[in-house]
Amino acid sequence: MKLIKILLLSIIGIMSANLSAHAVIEIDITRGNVQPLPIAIMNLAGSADEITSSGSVMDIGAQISRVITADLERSGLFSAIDPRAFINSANATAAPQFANWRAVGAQALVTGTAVLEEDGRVRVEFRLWDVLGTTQMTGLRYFTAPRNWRRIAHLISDAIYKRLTGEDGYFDTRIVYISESGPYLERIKRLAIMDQDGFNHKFLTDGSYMILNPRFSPTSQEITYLSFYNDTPRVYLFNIDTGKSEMLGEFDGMTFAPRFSPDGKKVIMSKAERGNSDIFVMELATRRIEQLTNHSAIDTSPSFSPFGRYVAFNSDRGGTQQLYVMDSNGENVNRISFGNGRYATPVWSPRGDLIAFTKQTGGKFYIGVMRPDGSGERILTESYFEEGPTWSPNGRVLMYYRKYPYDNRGGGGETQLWSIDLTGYNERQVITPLDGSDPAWSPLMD
Amino acid sequence: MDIPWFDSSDVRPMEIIPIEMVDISEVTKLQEIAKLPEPDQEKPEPPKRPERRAEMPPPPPRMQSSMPLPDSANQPAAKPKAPVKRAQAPTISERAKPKPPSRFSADRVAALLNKIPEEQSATDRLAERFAKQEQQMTSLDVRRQTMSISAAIQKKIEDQCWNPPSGALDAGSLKVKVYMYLTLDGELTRAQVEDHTRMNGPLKVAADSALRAVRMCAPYSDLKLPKNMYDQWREVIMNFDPSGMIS
Amino acid sequence: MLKNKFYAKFLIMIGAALILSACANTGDEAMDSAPAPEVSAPPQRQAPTVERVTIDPLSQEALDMVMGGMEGSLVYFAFDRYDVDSSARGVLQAQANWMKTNNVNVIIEGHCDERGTREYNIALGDRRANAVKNYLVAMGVAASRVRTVSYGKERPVNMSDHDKNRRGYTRVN
Repeated sequence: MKLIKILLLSIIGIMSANLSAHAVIEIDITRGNVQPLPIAIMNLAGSADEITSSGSVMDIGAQISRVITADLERSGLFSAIDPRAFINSANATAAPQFANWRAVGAQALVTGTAVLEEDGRVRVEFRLWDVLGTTQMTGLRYFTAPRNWRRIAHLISDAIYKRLTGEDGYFDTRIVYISESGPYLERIKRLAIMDQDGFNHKFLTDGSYMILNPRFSPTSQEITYLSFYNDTPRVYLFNIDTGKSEMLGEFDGMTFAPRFSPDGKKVIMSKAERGNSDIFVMELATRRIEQLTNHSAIDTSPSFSPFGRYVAFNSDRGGTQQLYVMDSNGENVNRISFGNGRYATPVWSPRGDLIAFTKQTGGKFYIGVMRPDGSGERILTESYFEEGPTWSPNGRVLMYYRKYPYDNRGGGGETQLWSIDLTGYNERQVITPLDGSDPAWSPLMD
Repeated sequence: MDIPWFDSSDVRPMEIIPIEMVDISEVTKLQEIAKLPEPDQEKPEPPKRPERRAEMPPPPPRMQSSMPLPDSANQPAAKPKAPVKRAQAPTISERAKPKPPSRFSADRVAALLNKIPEEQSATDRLAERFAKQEQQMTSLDVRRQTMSISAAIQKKIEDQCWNPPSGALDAGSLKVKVYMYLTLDGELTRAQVEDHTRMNGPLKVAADSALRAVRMCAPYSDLKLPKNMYDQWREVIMNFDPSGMIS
Repeated sequence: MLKNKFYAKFLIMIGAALILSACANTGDEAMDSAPAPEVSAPPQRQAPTVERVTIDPLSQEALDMVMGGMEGSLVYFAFDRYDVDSSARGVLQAQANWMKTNNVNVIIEGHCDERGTREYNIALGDRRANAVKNYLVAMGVAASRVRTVSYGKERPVNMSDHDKNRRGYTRVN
């Protein structure tokens, strides 16, 4: 496991004791080694078998533990201890033998059971233990149909993540993205959805027309995107539950770059008229549309702040593509990006404290973050081409896509989804069945 | 890559998975009876120990004693009883006239810390020095020793045991005070954070990480803390502050 | 029968192209250097078999040949620009003339190279398509006959030469 060692300056070194009668040594600890927390995850015990679609019998408890392990390891904040090192293999509900877990280096321990109930449901319980403190940190029980075991695993991962990091998890989430296939010059681009870990993958359109820039509703099972259906690029709304889609409004000009408001009741987008793109917001209930910008420059890629008070967007009104922030009624437009290069695709963090963006300079592309006032710009990753960051619902991880150049031998041009921790560490590819671009993270499911 | 074959029957609405959730902390409470004695039963002892007063050397002026200073080592005070054999760990030997804390320079401390040779364990050096320590000490020696004890514990925890809460990006307010109680042999009897059970969110996670550090580093017998000064280190307060870890 | 029909249409097309190049010949060098299509030069892209060549004077092939075998339906743009430059103006003037003598509607596609972000390039492609449309309209083509669509950077035609991808394409509808 990669150990991330960060050494920082001591602000205050060592405080000596006060040699008065109340003498107690007091020490300031200001440095440490940030590294993944060693965690032991036992296979959930029990007799809950599930007959899979291929006809084989599967031990749900063991499968759940495998998914939890993968979730936590992928976050980069945990390192799962190899189960072959475990001294104890018995997984009872009783308190664990903490000394044995400490001996294998575990600081946290997950135990639990998965048992079939008489009504056919499976009962899944887990407990998270503090090995050094010898206490239970949390414990939850779930009931569900056996075939839903994978969601239970993600819910448990979220509970563990939350208890150990203090932040909400993001494992019980999905990714909607553009699945790309075909040769370089004839790419098929269609809408697809999958669990955050790549499982339960489904295509939502058949590829006969192009889909771009899908975005998840923060409050419902809906997606908005740009569709080239009938060779007429317009913003659409797609309901995941019903599989139905509809065009959002009927306009002469193209609509594109849609994104939901934080309450899910509006969609903000660009609308082009006679070659000029401005930003509009549409109330979904009434389909009433309100114009927010009115400028001869291109105004696009709008993104609401988490409470809907501000809108970040992309404009070339200053000569090149830069980031701007305005009030949600279109007033008080302020440019916030001033570094070298072009800036695009601003996306407000769900925490509100940062705006992620794509930057283009010196023949390369970058994903970075800055504060909403434009200060504190920090580049997280760079490559030949990458763009379109999307935030995990807890504001901790960014996903984006990369495209590789033509390699002069007939290859290249692949697109891939990647994710990176906000700290700039733990960059990894998100595996998709075909190529992928334009990822959009769902909110935590209910 | 080829164009994937597409079956329109594959386009199906997703389903919401019904899940019922029950908190099982109550089960936990039952089980905790069988567990090791809970540290939470006891309140952290107030640092007031009047009965120790007789054992203590006369306290120097408060300001002098509470201000460790890193430079101007030419202190006229005698240092015969604490033979310093090698290049000093600066945190031990270098003391100076009292200065107000505002002048305490972080850069200077950083420089001092950098001076500690990596290949040589400060712990070893300190232990050696403690072993040679004689019983009788001046108040200056006591202060020097106390600083040595602090340095040894601090170094062990910072280098080996503390995994700061990396999730917290707003770490400025996540300072945690840990009370640690040691036996004469350096065993940890108790480590606790005030109000730990009432904490939640990032602060609780910060407290967890501090407690894990103190427990991970136990026992502290390898530091060979001077037994004649047990009263100085039977109880140690540690202020964990991750704010400097967040850039 | 089929052969006869083809020959008839082809002759009409050649005639139209000759007339076009003649009346569009306003001293533009691109026009000067573009010879009228010869009888032996049907669209070069595919093998000229009789079966597939059913060239209609109102077709895309006819437009493609307006410039005398050159890509008469294409104009190019500078990096991050959408203004119609002098070489593009010659092409568009020929297109406009062709449209005035041939009753067709067209779709202008706006395209970008791949060195930009998706959403911005959708907007930029729309700008380019409208710049082309505006020029055609200024040359006397009815606006109602010209529709625009932006494909942003999603439909490149060249994998390594970005200049070839920043284009406006006039497609016969």
